[in-house]
Amino acid sequence: MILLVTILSLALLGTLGCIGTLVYVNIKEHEANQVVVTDIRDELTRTYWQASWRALAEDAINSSETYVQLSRPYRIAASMPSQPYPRALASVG
Amino acid sequence: MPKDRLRLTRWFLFTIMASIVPFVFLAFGYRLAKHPEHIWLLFRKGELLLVSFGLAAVSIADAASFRSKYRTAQLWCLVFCLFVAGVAAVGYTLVAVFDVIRFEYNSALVDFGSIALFIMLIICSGITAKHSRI
Repeated sequence: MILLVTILSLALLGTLGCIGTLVYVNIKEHEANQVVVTDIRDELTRTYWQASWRALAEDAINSSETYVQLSRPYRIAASMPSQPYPRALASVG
Repeated sequence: MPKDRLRLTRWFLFTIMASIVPFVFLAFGYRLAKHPEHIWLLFRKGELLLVSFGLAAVSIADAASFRSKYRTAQLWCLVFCLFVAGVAAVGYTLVAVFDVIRFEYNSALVDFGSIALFIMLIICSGITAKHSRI
């Protein structure tokens, strides 16, 4: 009878070991997923600010070109690009 | 449903349920034939442990074939599953020998032990099979 109880105890220890590895892997996966989510948030924020500043800068350049063309159309027009700079974000500006 | 949960559900349905089907048929057969022995006597002879070895072997082969992202944890899980299968094999030997040598034993404990070992091997097999695809 002691043998059977010993066997059951050993099997229980093995099962707990298996469960321990599963818990360890789940914790590691959770940590890895959190890192990815944080990176995505940072990357999105950085991309948004870059796009906003670029759109503002392009808007300012286009406005200054228009001002120059309107004020001195005959002398400056040949050296200026015929098409305005493309806008990075249509909704900004 | 997440992919790993779907895989675990599929494993449960097609491995665990399929492995229990013979016992369900046997129980119906015993009842229809009005067999004098009860279905629980089969557990006392260690039949459940035989089934659980098959389950453990499938999971171990599955985990050995696929490399997990966490190889060390997977190997530890394999070792634990092999250990539990080995311990259950010793248990099966004892259960099978008890009848032959006319050893006095507590039959309720043997029934409980068989079912407990079966459940523990199922847990180990499930975790090992899950480890193989992480």
